[in-house]
Amino acid sequence: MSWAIFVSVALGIAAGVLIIPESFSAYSGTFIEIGLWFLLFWVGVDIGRSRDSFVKLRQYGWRVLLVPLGVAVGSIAGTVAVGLMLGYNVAEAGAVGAGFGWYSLSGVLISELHSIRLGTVAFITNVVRELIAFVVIPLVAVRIGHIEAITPGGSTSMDTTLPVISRSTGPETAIIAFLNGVLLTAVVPILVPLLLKIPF
Amino acid sequence: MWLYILFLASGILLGMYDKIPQKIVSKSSGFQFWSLLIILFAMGVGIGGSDEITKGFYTIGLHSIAFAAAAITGSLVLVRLLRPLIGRGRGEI
Repeated sequence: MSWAIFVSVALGIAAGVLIIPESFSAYSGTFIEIGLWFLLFWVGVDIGRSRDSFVKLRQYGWRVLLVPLGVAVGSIAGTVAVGLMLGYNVAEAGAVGAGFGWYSLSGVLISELHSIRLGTVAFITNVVRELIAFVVIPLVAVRIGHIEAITPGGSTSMDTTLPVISRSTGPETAIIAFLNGVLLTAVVPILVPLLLKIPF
Repeated sequence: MWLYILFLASGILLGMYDKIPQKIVSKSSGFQFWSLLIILFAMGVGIGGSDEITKGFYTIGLHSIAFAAAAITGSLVLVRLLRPLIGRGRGEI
C-alpha cells in the first residue's frame, strides 16, 4: 500500500510539473472533495463493522480511553508549540498534528480545506512520524513503558506499526494499541476540519 | 466540513447495523485503495503545479520533521503523565 501511495503522489507531482495545465487546479479541489466523501464513507463502514473493538473497549473500561486522548492532545500540543515558533498559527499547526500519522487522509483533507502547501506539510509530517515510530517504539517499550510505546505511531497503531508494538510489548498492549488506532482514525476527519476553523 | 462528517457517520452507522450487502462490503478495501490513489494523484498534481511548494520544498521538509518530532514527543510525554491513571490496578497493560 505504502509504495502505491508514494508512486501515486510522485506521478501526480510529475504530471503537475510536466503535463497538466495550470487551469486543471481549478477542478482538482472539487475532484478531491468528491473523492474524500467516497473514501470517508468506506472508512466509516470499516469502523462501524469492527464491533469486536467496541466490545473490548467496554471490557477494559474508560481508563483505556486516556491513551488515545493523551496521544491526541499531546500530538496537537506538540505541533502547536513548534508551529508557533516556525510562524504557523494555532489552527494550521494543530491540524497538522491532528493527522496522528494518517498521512494520506490528513494531507488531502488539509489541501482541500486550507491550502496545498499546508496539505504537503501535513503529508510529509505524518509520513515522517510513521518512519520515526518504527525506530523509537522498541526503545520506548524497553526504556519507558509498554503503554507509552503505543504513542509514537498515533493512528497507525492499528495497522502498520501494530506488529512492532506487539513484538516490543505483548498481546495485551497490542489490543490497546489497536483500539487506540481505531479511535484516533475515527476522529481525524472530524478534528482536522474543526481545528482549521480556529480563528488564530 | 459537515459533509465529511456526514459521510463518515453514515458509513459507521451502515457498517455497524450491517445495512450494506456483504458482496459490496467485501470490496471496501479496494474502494478505499483506488479512491485514495486517485485523490493522492490529484493532490500531487496540485503540488507539482504550485511554484510556492516546488521552490520551498526544503523548508517544508524541515518543518515537517520538526512537526513529526514534536507530535511524538507531545503524545509520549502526556501519556507518560497519565500513566498512573491508565494502569491503576491493572499491572503492566
